[in-house]
Amino acid sequence: MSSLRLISDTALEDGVSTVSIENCFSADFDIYKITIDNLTHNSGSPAEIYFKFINSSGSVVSASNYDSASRRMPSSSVFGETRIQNHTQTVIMGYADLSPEGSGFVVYIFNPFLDSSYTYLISQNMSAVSAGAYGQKSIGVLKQEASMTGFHIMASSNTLDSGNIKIYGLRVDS
Amino acid sequence: MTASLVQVATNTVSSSVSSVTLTGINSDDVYMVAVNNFDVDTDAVTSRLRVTVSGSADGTSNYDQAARILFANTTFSTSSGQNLNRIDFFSQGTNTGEQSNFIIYLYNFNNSSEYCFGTVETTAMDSNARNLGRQGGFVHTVQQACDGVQFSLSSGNIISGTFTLYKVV
Repeated sequence: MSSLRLISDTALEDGVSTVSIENCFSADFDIYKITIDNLTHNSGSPAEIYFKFINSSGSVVSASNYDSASRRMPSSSVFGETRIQNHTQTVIMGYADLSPEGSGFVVYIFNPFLDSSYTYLISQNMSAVSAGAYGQKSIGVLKQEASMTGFHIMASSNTLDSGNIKIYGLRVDS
Repeated sequence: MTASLVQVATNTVSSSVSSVTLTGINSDDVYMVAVNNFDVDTDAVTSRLRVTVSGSADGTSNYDQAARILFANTTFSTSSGQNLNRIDFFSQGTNTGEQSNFIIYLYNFNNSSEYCFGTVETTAMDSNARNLGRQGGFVHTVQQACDGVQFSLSSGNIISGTFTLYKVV
């Protein structure tokens, strides 16, 4: 059996501006891999995509405890940097636009369930927006020594049309 | 066939050690190293990596590396170097939350006619309580077969962390 274990496979519902994947992080794994593909939007104006975590009480964590940074690599202009500290969400991790200008992500989450550690993330994204392309390499941390059990995706405007979200755990056998 | 990961080696640190070595690369597959909760007992020490040959770290001056360093609090920077005797990552600390995490892919390690390559993605809180990330890679410019990697520090000990080597099949 592969050490990369599929935990959940979610097809995004049409017409939502947020997606919560609850109870996907547990004591079974310390590192998770999340893939998001075919993320599209219902408007011609690209939506910014942000991440948050869900704690063991089932609440989306919106405390000012997120630090995050992203390298933005557009195909048609100069590269840029985005960074925040002590914020209520991560920086922009990517974009979603009207199909066929979709978006895809690979995200690694570290230590989400450990209540003795912060929760960290690495994200890599490619988005096609407004007849161009954006690549993003991002990092982030939720500075709470608390157990996180879920993952939350937000669109800055309008609603999402489609998306497939898979969450895997990296198994470690001692 | 769907790609999968096969665990090759793992080490969960529960008491102080000066280094962690992961070996077992013995095929021409791509390998992946995953590290979480990497913590140290001495403040402001630099975490580092070397490749291993027959289980021993290669400290010869044949490492080239380049990376973009992302910071949550300040302008990003660049790290690069040639003919180094190791790959240095960043300054690790001992305060709350100051831990590091890595995803490293390894290429050509088993091939004695090729150089060994690696791509590195990290996220951490460093010794200055800054969220940072390192996005880049390295090459060990020696035509030799390498069987793994070793994590160590500029001084002090590793006191926690789970280090795992997988084969991508």
